Order: sequence, then structure tokens, then C-alpha cells
Amino acid sequence: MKVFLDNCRTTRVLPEVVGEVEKYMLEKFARPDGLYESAQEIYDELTEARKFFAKTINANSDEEIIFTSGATEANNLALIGVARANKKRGNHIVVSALEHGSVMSIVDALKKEGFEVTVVPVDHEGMLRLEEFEKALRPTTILVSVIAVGHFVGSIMPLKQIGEILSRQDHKIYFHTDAAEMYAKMPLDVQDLKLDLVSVSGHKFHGPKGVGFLYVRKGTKIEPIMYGAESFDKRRPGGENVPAIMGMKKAAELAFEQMEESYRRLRELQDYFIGRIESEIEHVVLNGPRGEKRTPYNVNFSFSFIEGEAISLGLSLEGVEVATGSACASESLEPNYAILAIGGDHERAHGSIRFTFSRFTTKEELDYTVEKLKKVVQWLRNISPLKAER
Amino acid sequence: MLKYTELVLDHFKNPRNLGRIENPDAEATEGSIACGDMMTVYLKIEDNRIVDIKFESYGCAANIATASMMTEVVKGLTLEEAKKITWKDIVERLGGLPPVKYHCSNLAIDTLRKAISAYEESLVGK
Repeated sequence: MKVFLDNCRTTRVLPEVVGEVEKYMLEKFARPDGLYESAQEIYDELTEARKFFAKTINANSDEEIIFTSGATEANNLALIGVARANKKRGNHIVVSALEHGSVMSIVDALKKEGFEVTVVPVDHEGMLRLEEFEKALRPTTILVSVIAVGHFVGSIMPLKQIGEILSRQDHKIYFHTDAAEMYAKMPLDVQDLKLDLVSVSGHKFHGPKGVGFLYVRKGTKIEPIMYGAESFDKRRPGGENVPAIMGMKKAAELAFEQMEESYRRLRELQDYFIGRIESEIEHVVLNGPRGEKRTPYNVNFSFSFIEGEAISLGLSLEGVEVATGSACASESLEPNYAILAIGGDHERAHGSIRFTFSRFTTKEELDYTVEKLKKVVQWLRNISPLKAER
Repeated sequence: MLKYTELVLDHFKNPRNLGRIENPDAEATEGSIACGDMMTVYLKIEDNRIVDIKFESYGCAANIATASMMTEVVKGLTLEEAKKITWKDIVERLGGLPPVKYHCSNLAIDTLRKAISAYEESLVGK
């Protein structure tokens, strides 16, 4: 049996999506910027696609959607574009300690341009500390970026409260979220959450890789970060990846159709999976929150006395594919920052395993995973010099 | 996932000389939990020769595989011969390791040398 439980990294592309991508490669291959009929058709379809995506997040206008090559580019455009366009007003940016690596790298780059960055800590469940967040805001703060769902520990961030805090300030602070792990998995309403910018990635919900979009609220001061010939959208020049955009649209349509049902079903599976691991394997710690504060798509455990790279390789040899926060699995040899951010020590980070579901994950797959996990954990604990009783 | 050779995977799946020796002539632990890799080596020594060696490992696949290979290489060697084995010898015998994992082979050698030193120190004054 092959079980893929690293769906937070990427997901399988659905056949319906592949069909759509193929159609826009073989038949409707025109670009939107010609003066002939097939180009006009693509122009209209891309506009329809923007309308569709705008509607999925309750945006006011299709012009608020910019197609990108994925969430990383969307994050770059949001943070660099807004920071540069607003630097006369201030040079301060606030982010959470659980931001995705792309946001962390972008703000590091912005520091070199003279921007100041405050990283607000999270609590032991991975929820943003709202009091410290509010204290971090300054008259020079121009931009806040908080990840929608912690991609490693699964915490659903208090975006609504953050939006309210920001709307109480006496100057405009733009509010961005990287919603790669939220979009098409749970409701996301930019009006309700008072969001100005939202990054989305297509391959997280069974769409193609290399495509995503950035929502930019009308009136947001933002500069392009890429320059080129204008095609469909001058804020992001160059030829649009039409097949991938249309594939992402198909994937989103399918995901939204089943969103509530998947959420409910995965919540049950998550409870079942967590329950089995906690009752059948000793010395485990659940990383991140329980219940409604946690996305039903994520389970993350640390296994004491053993190391995550060995666990994940052991599972991989049994056909189960997962992610680990162990330093040994990273090129930098740094233990996972998310586990350290929620107050875990190095051992907890090294022994952490992340299981992430898709809406196609089954109980049979999770049962198989638990059996293999028990076997691998017991085997590694047998060979470890660290033991519970010593 | 880092790319490992078939031989590394084999030593990871089926580590040689795994476990503990009761009443060893020497033992040593190196590394730390904080670093994410740690190893204990047990030695049985007769006439300055390693007649038995076993290990336990808290660490990644490379850690387990290098420890396993190290025990296989030094079993039967005299202490002087064993001391000359380097991390490069172990990496070579395994058919290579991702460079980021070289420190694991260092840990295997360091733990072995520490155990040999412990044995030699235990002889002083006897």
C-alpha cells in the first residue's frame, strides 16, 4: 500500500484538472492579448476565472485577483510590492513566528532595503499572541503578514481578531495572509476578516503546480515586482499560464463543491487518527492545538527518544510518505522553527512527524499508517540509547 | 528526502552489531539529544583486539548506517588499527553520503575513539 500524507507540501492533480489543462494546451492555446477571435475568447475566459476566484473569497471585483506562479510569487508581490509602494509612510512590517519560509525569506530581503521587521511570537498551541501583536504595531507600521493556517502545526490563526485590531489603528496598515493551507479547505471571507492581500497556491488543492493568485483589495498601494510587456494584467506582466490557471479553476470548483463535507469527514478521521496514536504509542506529544483551532488537514506528533528523519525514512520504506521537523532532514541542519516557536525543545523538533491529509485520504490509509508507525517507532526505540526508564 | 545509497539503506534497515554488551570492557556515548544525534558504543576487548562491538543510536538514517558500518569495519581489529580508521573510510565503504551528513560518520568515529580511550585509561595503574 502507498499512502501519501504530505498533502501540505503538494497534492495529486485530479484527472478532471488534467483534462482542463490539456484543453488549454491543445485546443484553446491562444494568449489573451491578440486581436483575433481565439485570443478574445481566452481574454474573456481569464476574466471569468478572475470573477470566479474573486467570488470564492467574497472579493468585490475580479480586478482584485492577480494570477501568479504560486503562493511564493504571490507573497513576494504582496510584501515587496506593498512595502516599496508605501515606504514614504513607514518602514515597519509585522509578521508571525509561524510564517512560511517564503515570507521569512522575503522579510529578510526587505531588511536589506531598510525595512524593520517584528516577528510576533505564538503560544504553545501555535496561536498568535494578540496582546504582543497589538503592542508590536507602530506609527510606522505599513504591513502585517500572518499565515492563515500554520503549515507545520496546523493552528488556524485568529485572522478575524487581527483584522479588527488593525482596523482600530489610526493609520492604514495593510493586512496580508498566506492562505495556502486555508483556501478551498475552509471558508475565507476577505470582508469578514478585513484582509487586503491573500496568497493562494493551486497545487495545495489538487490543481497544477506553478500557479496561484494574489488577492489585492482595490485601493491598495502596490508596485509590480516584475517588469515586462503588458498582456492581461499590467501588475504581473508576461504571458499568462492559461492552462494552469484554468486547471486551478477546475480544481477549486471541485474543492468548493465538497468543502464542508470534506471538512467534517476529515475532522472525524483526524480525531480517530490522533486517538489511535495517543492510545497505542507511548511517549508521544501532539504538536499544535486540538479541536476547532486546528485544521482538520493536519496532525503533527513528536515521538520521544527517536529522531524524525529515521522515522520518516522508515515509514517511506513501508510506503508511507510524511514530513519531519528534524534538523537531520533539512539541508541547513536547523531544527524546525515552528516546534521551537510553540515552546518545544530540540528533541521535540527532531522527533516531530507531520501527517497532512487531502480530501481523498481514507480511514484504511490511516489504519495502515498507524500500523507501520507503531512498527517503525518500536524498532527505532529498541536501538536508541535513550529509554523512558533510564 | 536526502538521497542515500542502497548500501546506506541496507545498513539503516538491517544494522549490524546493534544492541548492548553486558559488562563491556569499555563504553562511550557521544553527541547530544539537542543536536539530534547521539550514539553509544560498547566494546569487548581481548589482547588489545576488539573481539566484539555493539552500538545504540538516537539519530537519523545516516547516523544508524555509519555506526553499523563502523562496527563492521573495526570488529576484529587491534586497538591501534581501529584508531586509524577515519570517517572518510566509513563514508567510502558506504558508497558515499550526502555531504550534509558527513558529521554523522564523524560521530561514529568519535564515539569509537572515546570508547578506546576509556578502555586505555581504565588500564592505567593496573
